[in-house]
Amino acid sequence: MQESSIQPKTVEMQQPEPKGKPRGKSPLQLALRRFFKNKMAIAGVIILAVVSFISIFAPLFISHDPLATDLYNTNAEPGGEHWLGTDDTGRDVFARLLYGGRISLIIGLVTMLGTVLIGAVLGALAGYYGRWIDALVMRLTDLVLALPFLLLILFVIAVLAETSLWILIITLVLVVWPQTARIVRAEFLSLREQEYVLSAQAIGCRDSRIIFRHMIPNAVAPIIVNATLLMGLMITVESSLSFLGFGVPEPTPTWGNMLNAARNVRILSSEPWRWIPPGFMIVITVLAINFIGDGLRDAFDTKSTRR
Amino acid sequence: MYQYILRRVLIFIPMLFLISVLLFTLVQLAPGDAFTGQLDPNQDARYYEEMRERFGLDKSPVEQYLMWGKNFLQGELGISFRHKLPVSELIGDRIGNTIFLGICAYILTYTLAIPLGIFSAQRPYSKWDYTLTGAAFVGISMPSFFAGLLLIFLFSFTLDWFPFSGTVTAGAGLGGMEAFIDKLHHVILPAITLSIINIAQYTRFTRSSVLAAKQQDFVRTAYAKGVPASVVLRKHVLRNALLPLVTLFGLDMGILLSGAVITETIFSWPGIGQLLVEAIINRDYPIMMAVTMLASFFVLLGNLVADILYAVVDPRIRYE
Repeated sequence: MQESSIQPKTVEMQQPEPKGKPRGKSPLQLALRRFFKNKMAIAGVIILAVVSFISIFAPLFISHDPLATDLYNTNAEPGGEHWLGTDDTGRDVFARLLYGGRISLIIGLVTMLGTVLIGAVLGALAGYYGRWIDALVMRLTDLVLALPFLLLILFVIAVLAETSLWILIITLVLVVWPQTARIVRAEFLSLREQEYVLSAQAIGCRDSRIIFRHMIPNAVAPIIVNATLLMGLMITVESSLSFLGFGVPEPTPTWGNMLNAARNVRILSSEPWRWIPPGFMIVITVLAINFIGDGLRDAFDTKSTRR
Repeated sequence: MYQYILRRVLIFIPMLFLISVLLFTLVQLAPGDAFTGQLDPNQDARYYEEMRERFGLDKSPVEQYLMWGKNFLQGELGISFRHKLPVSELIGDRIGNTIFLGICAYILTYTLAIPLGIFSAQRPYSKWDYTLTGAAFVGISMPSFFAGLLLIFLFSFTLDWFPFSGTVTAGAGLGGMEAFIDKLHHVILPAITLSIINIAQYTRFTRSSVLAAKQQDFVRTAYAKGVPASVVLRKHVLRNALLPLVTLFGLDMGILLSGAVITETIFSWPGIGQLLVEAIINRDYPIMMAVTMLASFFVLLGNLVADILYAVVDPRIRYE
C-alpha cells in the first residue's frame, strides 16, 4: 500500500519541469512564429485591424448619420462639411463609407464561421465514417459545386424576392460549405489511418472524442487557411451582389451598394469620389485578408522553403 | 479510357436531373409568380388566370415539373414570361456573344499570365518579381466589377480609347474585316475585366510551378551535361511546370460563367449573363432555369475536360 501511494510522486519526480529553459514549441506555436516573421502577413493584420477599428468605432470619427437624408443638399461635391460629398438623397458619402465596412466585415466573418462549422462537421463525418455518409455528403457537394456559384446565389436570392443581411449570409453559407467540406474530408481520410487514431480507437474512445479531440486539431491548418481565404471571397461576393442590386438592401450602407451608384453613367463619369473610395476599401480589405491567408498557408506548410 | 469518359458522361444525367429538381423546388418555394408583381387594376383578373393557365402555373408542382422536364428533353426550354418568346431563341441569340467574350478572355489569360509567370520565376525575389507578385495579389483581391468600372472610367471616359457598351458601333454599317475589328475594339475592356482574376491567378500559379520545377534533380542534371539554358527551360522546366495549367482551362468554366454575369451587366454586353440578370429582376423563371441548367452542364463538361486533359498530358495518370 505504501508503495502505491508513493508511486504517483515518483512518476512526477521522474519528469521534472525544466526550469529556466524554453519548453518545446507546439506545431501551432511554431507556425505562429513563422507567420509573424512574414512582412506581408503582418501588413495584412495591421490593415485589417485599422479597417475593423474605424468601421466599428465609426461614430468616433464622423458625426454625420449615414442614414440621414438632406434633400436641400444632394449630390454635393467633396469638401468642407462633407468630405466625400453627398449622394442623391443628401446622405454623407464619407459616413456611409465608414459605416459600410461593418456590413462587409460582418458578412465576411459570419459566413466564414458558418461555412467552417458546417463544412468541417460534414467533411469530418464523411471522412471518418466513410461508406454511405461519405457518399451522401460527397454527392451533395458534387451537386452544389456543379452549379456556378454566383448563379446559384442569384437564383436563391431571386426566389426569395426580399433580401436581408441574414438571408444573404445563410444563402452564402449554403452555397460555399462544400469547398470546406471537401478539404476537411480529404484531410480526415489520411488522418484516419494514423497510428494515434488507431490507438485511440483501440483504447475505446468515443467517436466524437476521436473526431473533435484528436483529429480536428490535426486538420486545423488547412481549415484555417481555407477559412481566411473564404472570408475575403465572401466580402467580394457580397459587394458584387450589392452592386448588381441583389445584396443588402438600401438604406443600409455597404461598400457594394455604394458602388451600385456607379451604374449611373453620370456618377461613373463625373463623380468618381462617390464610387472609387468604397471600391478602394473593398480592395485593401480583401487584399489584407489574402495576405493573412497566404502567410498562414506558408506558416503551416512545413515543406515551404521560405521562412 | 473510353469507358471512363463514357461513365463520366453518363453521370451527367442524374446530376443534371438532381440540379433541375433542386432549382425547380427553389422556384416552387418562391412566393407568388411572375404575374403577382405586375397586377394592373385596369386589367381584367381573368387575363392573369388565362396567362397562368397558358404557362401551366395552375397545375400541381409535380405536374409542372414533369411538363417542364418533357419539354426540356425535347429541346423546348419554355416561353419567357416577359419576352413572350421561346427561351431557346433568346439564348440562341446571345450565347454567341458570351462565347466570343469567353474565348477572348481565355486568350488574354494565357498570353499574358504564362509569360509573366515565367518572367517572374526566372528572377525570383527580385524587384520585378515582387512587383508582379504584388500586382497579382491586387488582381486577385479586386472584385471584377470594380476593375471594370475603373477601366471604363479610365479608358472610355478619360482617354476615350475604347467604347464602354455594346458589341458593335450602332449604325456604322461596317462590313467584313472592319466589322471584326470594330467587334474586337468593343470586346477589349469586357475581356480584360473578365480575365483579370484568372490572369492574376495563373501568373502566380505559373511562377510557383516553374520555381518548383527548377529545383528538380533532372534540371540540375540537364545543366550538368551541358544543355543550353533556353533548352532546359523549354524542354525540362516548362514541359513539367505548365502541364497542370491545361486542367485549369476546364475548371475555370464556372468562374468564367459567373464572371460573365457581372461583366456583361457592366458593359451592356448582350450575352446570356445579361439575360440572366434581367430575368432575375423580372423573376422570369423559364429563363433562369434554362440558363442555370446550361451553365451547370458547362461546368460538368469543363470538369470532365480537365480530367481528360490531365490524363492526356501526363501519361502517369490513368483512369480505369
